[in-house]
Amino acid sequence: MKALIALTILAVLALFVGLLKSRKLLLPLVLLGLAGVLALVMQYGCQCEGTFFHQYLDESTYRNMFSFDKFAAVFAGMMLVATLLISMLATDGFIYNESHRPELFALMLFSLCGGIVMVGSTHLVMLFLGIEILSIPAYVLAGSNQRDSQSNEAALKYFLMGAFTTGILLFGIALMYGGSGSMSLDGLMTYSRHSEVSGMFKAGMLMVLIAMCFKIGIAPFHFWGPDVYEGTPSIITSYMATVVKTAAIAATFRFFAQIIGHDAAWMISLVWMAALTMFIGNLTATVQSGFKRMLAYSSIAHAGYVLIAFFTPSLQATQSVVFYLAAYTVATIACFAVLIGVQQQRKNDLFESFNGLAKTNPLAAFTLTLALLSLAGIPPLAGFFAKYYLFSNGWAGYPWLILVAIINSAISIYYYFRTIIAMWFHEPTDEPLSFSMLQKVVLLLTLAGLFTLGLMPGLLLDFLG
Amino acid sequence: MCFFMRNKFANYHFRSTVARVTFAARFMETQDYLPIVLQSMVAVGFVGLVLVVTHFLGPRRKGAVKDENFECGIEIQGNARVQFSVKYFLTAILFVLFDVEVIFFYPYAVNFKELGSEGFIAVVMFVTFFLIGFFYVLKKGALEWER
Amino acid sequence: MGKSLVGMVGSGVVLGSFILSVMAWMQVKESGAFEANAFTWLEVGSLHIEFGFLVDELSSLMMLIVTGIGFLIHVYSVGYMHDDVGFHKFFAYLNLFIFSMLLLVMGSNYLILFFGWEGVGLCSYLLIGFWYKNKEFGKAARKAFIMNRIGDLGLLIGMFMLFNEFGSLNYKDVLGAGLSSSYAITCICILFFIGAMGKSAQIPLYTWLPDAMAGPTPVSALIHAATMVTAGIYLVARSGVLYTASPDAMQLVMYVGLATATFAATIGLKQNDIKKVLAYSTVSQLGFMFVALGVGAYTTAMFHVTTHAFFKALLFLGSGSVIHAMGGEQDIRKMGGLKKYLPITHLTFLIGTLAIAGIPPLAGFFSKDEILTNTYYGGGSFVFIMLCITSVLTAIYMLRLYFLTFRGSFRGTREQEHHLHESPLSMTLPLIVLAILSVVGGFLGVPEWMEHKLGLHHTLNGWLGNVVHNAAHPAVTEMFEYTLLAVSIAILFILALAVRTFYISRKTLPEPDEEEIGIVKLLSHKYYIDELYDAIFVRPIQSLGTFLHDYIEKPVIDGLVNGFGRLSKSSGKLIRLLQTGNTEFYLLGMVLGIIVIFVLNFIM
Repeated sequence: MKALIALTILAVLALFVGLLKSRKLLLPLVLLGLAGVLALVMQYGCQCEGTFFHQYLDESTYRNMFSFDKFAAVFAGMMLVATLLISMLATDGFIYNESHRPELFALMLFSLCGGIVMVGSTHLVMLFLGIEILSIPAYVLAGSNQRDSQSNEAALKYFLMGAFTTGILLFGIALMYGGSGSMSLDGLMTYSRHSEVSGMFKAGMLMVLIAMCFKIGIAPFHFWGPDVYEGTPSIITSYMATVVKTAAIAATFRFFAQIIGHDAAWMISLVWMAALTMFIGNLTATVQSGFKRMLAYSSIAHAGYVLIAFFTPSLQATQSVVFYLAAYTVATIACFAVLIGVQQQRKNDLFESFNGLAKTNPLAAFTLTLALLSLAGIPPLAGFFAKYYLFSNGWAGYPWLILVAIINSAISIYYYFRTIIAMWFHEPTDEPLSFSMLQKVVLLLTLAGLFTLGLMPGLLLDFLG
Repeated sequence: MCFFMRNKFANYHFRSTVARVTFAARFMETQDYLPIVLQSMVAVGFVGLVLVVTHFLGPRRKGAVKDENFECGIEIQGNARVQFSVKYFLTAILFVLFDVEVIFFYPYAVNFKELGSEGFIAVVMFVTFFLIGFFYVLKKGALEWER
Repeated sequence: MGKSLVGMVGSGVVLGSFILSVMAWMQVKESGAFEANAFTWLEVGSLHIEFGFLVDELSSLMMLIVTGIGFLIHVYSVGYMHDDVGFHKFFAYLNLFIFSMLLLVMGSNYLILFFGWEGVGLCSYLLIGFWYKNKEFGKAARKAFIMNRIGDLGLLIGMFMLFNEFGSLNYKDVLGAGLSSSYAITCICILFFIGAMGKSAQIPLYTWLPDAMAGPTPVSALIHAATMVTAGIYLVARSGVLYTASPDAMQLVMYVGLATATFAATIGLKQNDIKKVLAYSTVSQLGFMFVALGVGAYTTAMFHVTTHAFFKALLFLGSGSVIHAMGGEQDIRKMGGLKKYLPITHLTFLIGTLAIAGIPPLAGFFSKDEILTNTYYGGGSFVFIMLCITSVLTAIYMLRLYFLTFRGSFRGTREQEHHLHESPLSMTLPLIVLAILSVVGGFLGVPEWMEHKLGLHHTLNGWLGNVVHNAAHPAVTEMFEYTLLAVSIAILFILALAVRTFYISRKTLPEPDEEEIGIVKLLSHKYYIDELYDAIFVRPIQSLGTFLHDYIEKPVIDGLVNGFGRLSKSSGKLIRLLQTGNTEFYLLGMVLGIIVIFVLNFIM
């Protein structure tokens, strides 16, 4: 909770720094502030002992509405790290809207607050509030490049469809409350396990689930994804693809894995959705000609993989979700770090723009290659272990789904390698790109992350265990 | 279908006294709402009736001059759908924001004594947040008309 | 960075780790073995791997050897590699090697050992092919790598079986358990030994080591003589408990070791490249160590590892000094009479030669004597006699090498003679230190019958006793030992005279390559083993590869893969049509999805 308050104050401070004449303070303030909040979260998370859920530190769980337990701490930490890395890219990332830089930072931080509320919420109202706090700044951020019609289109689409799902979500919450008489997670779990579940509850549950699937980007509610991701300025896309997605998946996992996992009837539609998501994400990614849109589809596909953990709820499954999202986040940020450079200096994101990057910018090419290999799940990188944990845990649930996932991983190798081939085997057609110091730092950090998670998965899992 | 219905009612009436009681209760409930339904129907009917009837009762004269937009006798200028400064919108939305703040004071004022110092602190915090926002808005120059 | 700085940093860190190793050694001495787990590396199902280290008597001995000799060789390299363009790279590889080797000996489970095992293999590959512009050197590097892979596969499968058998890869769990001999343990032991064969160059996987001499000489000294090739010995000694439970596997180890020792020694007799002689000598000495392991004398094997590290590193560095002076010439037929030009090198090389030949009281005498004693009791008379003969052969080829190189008159060109010079201090200093170690190193393991006379103890036996100990054998009679001592000194003396007469007084020179006939030709061509391997393995595999490529890969596999690719691409094109960009359509899609989900859940 302290972390949440500190983060809010940080966002407000960022706003006020914008009022000053000199804005040099802004980036150091945001980075230091995020690091401080991260330290708070880590310290808090390390104190939590034992299992994941409901390991409250103090008596007050904010009237059963919000619990900052280990689960929340881990995901909050992950989102903070992601935001930290993205903020480091922001010097170059926010260049399209120089005059509103402080506001963009503040919006991102406010949105992050929403994400933390989401992962810590144990009550449907808090979940809803978290989602809205997360989403509304995200809508604005999506349209933050006012002069770009694509950005505007993305914002409007995101907002319209987001509003549509908000309606569904609220309706679902109301029905769940109507059915069970409770909105807190404990109450819902007790109700769903110990009594005959009413149709009203079931309908409400499905609606909430659908709304969450929209936020995560699960087919057939993924349509907004590619269009919004592509139109949104890249730096914001990287935020949406990592933080927003992580928050949505974590919150959904907290609420549903425990309820759905104990009743096969809940699962079956979700299982089909997972398979559909993987296929749509991966197959469509193969025919893209732009790197960013390819990443958008691939992020849809990755969300499909993560769903596997929902069907065998256990501590291991939770660990595998954490690990998968960590690996995915690190690799995605690495991809976007390079993409931002390419887009700014080559004015497009076609695969051809990556030609010969290995010769002109070895560090960027190397990092991007490893990030893509990690996303494809090649050992010994983080992505391999992530997939391995996820799939081996999921085998107990639906073996055929794991087979589908493996086939899809194979398909994904094709499109990930397109960029790699362009970088390493094609001759450079353009001037070398220039990367700023901070961008290089991000590249190095993500590189280290990919290797650390891949070679020593124990480091993270120890913390979780 | 009709036969089926009757059969069902027959069950209610003769098979089980419990069912009969329940049915009676339900019937009673429905009866309770009857006045409301009647009143709504009267209200809607009256409005609808008046709307329709006025069309026929009043005298009507048509003409080009008469159909023209009338605005305090001033000559009309251009289209009504024009772009206007975003400052109108800003002022309006800020007004709504602070208006809502005031609304929150009503329940607090009613329970002022019961809530005690804890409530006071909460409200002070709430007001502080708004003041910070207000300060930001002022500094940003959102309320300066000429700029 | 400047070269001197690189050299200083490179050597300095190894010196640092040597000091730390000494401290670890003292701690072990003080309070026994200790384990440290850095973190859980892997946890998958029942497989639980700690990234942990175990420092006990055995590993601290290895740590001292690796870092101590490593440091000396780093210092030597500063001088030796001074004019090389790849100076920086060389030190980076060398440091990486020390890291991997330490990982190998310090790990607390077989997986960490394997990690280090692969690491040293990689460094070996990189350093053999250090002068990669020479195609032959590159081939030698590849050969070493591939042969090691064969061994590694054995080790890996052995580890799988071990895990299957014990459910753990930790030394503590595996070696602590009371073992009874079983089929599985024999398999594991043999598989581990296959791994050891690759790394420690035993028949049939030994041919890479002589070729590995393509690398710079310090590399040969450090990796291919003193440390990496003894990893196999370490592995077997570490798993001593397993081997003790499997007499069959021990027999195999002994016979393979014996065959390698003898075989390599005979080849060594007729090599004319100074480094090749030493390489075959290394293979042969490793064979000695395996014989010791095979008869259950684990401590003795470790003892020989230690002394061998001293004198073989010394010999290699000495040969490096010679090559340095000769301007890259390695053929001993073109040397001779170097004694007066390279006094320090000569003296230290002589000490090394005497040490390996087994002159008392130099290091080689004690360790080899111990191996022979243990073989006498543990291996039967045949093995003992063969080993004695091999010892004699060792003396012969070493003396031949010494006389041809340092005595007589110079046979090189005028220009070479003009350039002959003693090496710089950074090269001679390690030589001197190693020479001193070769002299006194043997007193680490004073034989039983001498203990009282000298008032010394067999330090190593006592030291390693907590981890492994030799199979018991009856006490040796003093008479036997004295006889052995007298006979060996006499034989060596006679040999020295004979070799001297043959090569110096009568000025016989090894014939040029093309004039070799009969057995000489056979030996000089290393029994044509390389050609044999080429015919039996390499060519059939290559033609199989070509066949598979032409008839299986191209039409079948490629066809399948491409077909799969085309399928996913065309379906991708279809699905793509759904993404119209039209928000109403998206909403419609979502609503349809909702409807389907509700239908599925409520009606079906």
